[in-house]
Amino acid sequence: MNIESRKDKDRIIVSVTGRMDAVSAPEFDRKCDEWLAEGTTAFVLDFGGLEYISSAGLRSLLVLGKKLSAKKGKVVIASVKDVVKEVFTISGFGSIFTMVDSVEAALGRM
Amino acid sequence: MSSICLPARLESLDDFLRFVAERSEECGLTPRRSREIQLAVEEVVVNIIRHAYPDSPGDIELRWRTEGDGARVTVEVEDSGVPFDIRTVPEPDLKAGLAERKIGGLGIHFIRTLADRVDYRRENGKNILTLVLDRRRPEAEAGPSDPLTTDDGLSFPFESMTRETFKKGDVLFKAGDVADKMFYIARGSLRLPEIGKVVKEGGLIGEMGILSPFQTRTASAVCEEDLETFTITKDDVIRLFHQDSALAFQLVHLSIKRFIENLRAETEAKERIQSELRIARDIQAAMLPRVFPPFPDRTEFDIFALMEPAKEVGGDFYDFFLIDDKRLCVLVGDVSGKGVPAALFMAICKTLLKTEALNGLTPADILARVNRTLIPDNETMMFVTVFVLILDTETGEMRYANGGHPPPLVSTGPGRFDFLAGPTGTILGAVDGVAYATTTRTLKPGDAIFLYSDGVTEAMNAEQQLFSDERLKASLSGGAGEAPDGLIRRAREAVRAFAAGTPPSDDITMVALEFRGPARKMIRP
Repeated sequence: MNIESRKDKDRIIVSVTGRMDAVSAPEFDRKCDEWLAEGTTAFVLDFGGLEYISSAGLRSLLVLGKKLSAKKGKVVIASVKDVVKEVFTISGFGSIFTMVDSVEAALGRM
Repeated sequence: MSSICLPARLESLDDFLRFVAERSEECGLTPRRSREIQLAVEEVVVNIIRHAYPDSPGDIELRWRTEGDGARVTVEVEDSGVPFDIRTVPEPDLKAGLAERKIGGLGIHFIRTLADRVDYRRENGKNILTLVLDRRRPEAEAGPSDPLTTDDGLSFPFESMTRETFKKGDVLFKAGDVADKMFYIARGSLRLPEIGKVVKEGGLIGEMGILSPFQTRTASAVCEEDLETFTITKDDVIRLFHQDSALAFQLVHLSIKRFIENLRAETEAKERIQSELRIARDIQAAMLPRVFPPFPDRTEFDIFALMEPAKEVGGDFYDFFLIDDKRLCVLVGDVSGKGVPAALFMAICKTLLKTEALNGLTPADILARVNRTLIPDNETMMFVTVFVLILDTETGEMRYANGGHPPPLVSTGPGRFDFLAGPTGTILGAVDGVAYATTTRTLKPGDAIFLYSDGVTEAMNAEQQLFSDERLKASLSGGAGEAPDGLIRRAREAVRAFAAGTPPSDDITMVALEFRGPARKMIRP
């Protein structure tokens, strides 16, 4: 898994590529905690390069979502590939997270 | 089969997943299917890494096996950690929103969703989890599809079902089998022989067994034509119940509806049999002469008879008829067994005996001829005892023969009865070519003869005592010059008093004949 991020005003755009599994998910958690600690409350997750997600990855997303919700923050997920979208579907996550087709559309929702 | 064994640490996960990816590629699985299997394996392996070895390090072994050119992949995951059956973990609430959504439980949900079957066993201190992952339908392979809807309006998600095919004549399940899945009929039709029902395309079958407290099939299911089903395991049904309570309700409703239908059909069938038995009883009763006096213009003799079957229909019979103007034939028989088979056999015997008697044969020859006729066709091994007598109504000469029947009683003076002497021959239908003997005895006017079946002497009371020959003899004796109907009433009453409410286990037959002497010429004034 590779994580890149860029700030856009008070928002952060996080691009995750590769695999988000039990091994790599803790790294995602750690990064998110850092950004949250800096006061970031608007997250765009660019999953255009994410090939695989397991329940560990979903768990990380759920934790991020809960923490942001406590701070009246927001997370939008962009460009999710079909293979990952299916995992979202079987876990019922499709209804928890806002998912859009592009990063631009995501920023427009912020 | 190939396998890999690695320490139960997160660092091993990549190697496990690479193992799965490589095996998938070797087997030519689609990337999508490979990812699904990886996902299921990761969830299992991570769960073991997190929970199986709380105190000390341990290993995880993964075994991979494919069947049918990759149509079915079986993955076994083994660890020596604390006993844990993943299947006991409750389902997460997939409809909860962000705030209510629990963290965790998802991995197990994935395993259940992705694997077509999840089996667990504890063996030699090891947890062995088996995942069976079948190839999906092409529709499902293309992506999420509309759910399958049965004719009864139940909708099942495709992911929960496995496609199966059967050939015409295949038995899906037999009555009494363990019920572990149900079937949606996508093509073809099924017959349920026990309840005479046919299930066609769009129908659902097997749900009753799953919901039954006995977990067994109530009826068998046989393919009438080649069949294609979508099969849902019992575990999946239970899982769907968690996810979709409306579906659970519908399924229970369907099952109860069908149960009531089956019960009604069964009750109707039982009632039909009961009513047919009642008709059979009437037919059988009509076969025996029962209008008394049967020959009102014959003053030389008087006769009375009764037959009470223990069941609806019985194997006992009697008959009497005039062979010619002066000879009367009386016979009593008892077919081995009871119920419908005995009643049918009895009808044959009675007809044969009368036919031979009307041919003018002697009693011994009647028995010999009927015996010979019964033997070749007697595949059911049914037998009959018969006593036959022919009375010369002018002289009182009585000729008789016995084929294994209890000897009748004959009056030897007013109110005195004794068993009739004479050889007891072989039961009819058992041995080919046996001969019988005719005995002759002359009755005096006023003499009576009492014929019966062993249902009389073997009638039992609550203490399991038999009514016995002695009690029968005693019950007939003592009266003075009673008419046949009086004799029979007395004997029947004695048996009833003796049994004191114990229901008869055998048919009861009694025939009484009194010789009154030759007809006096009417003197016209």
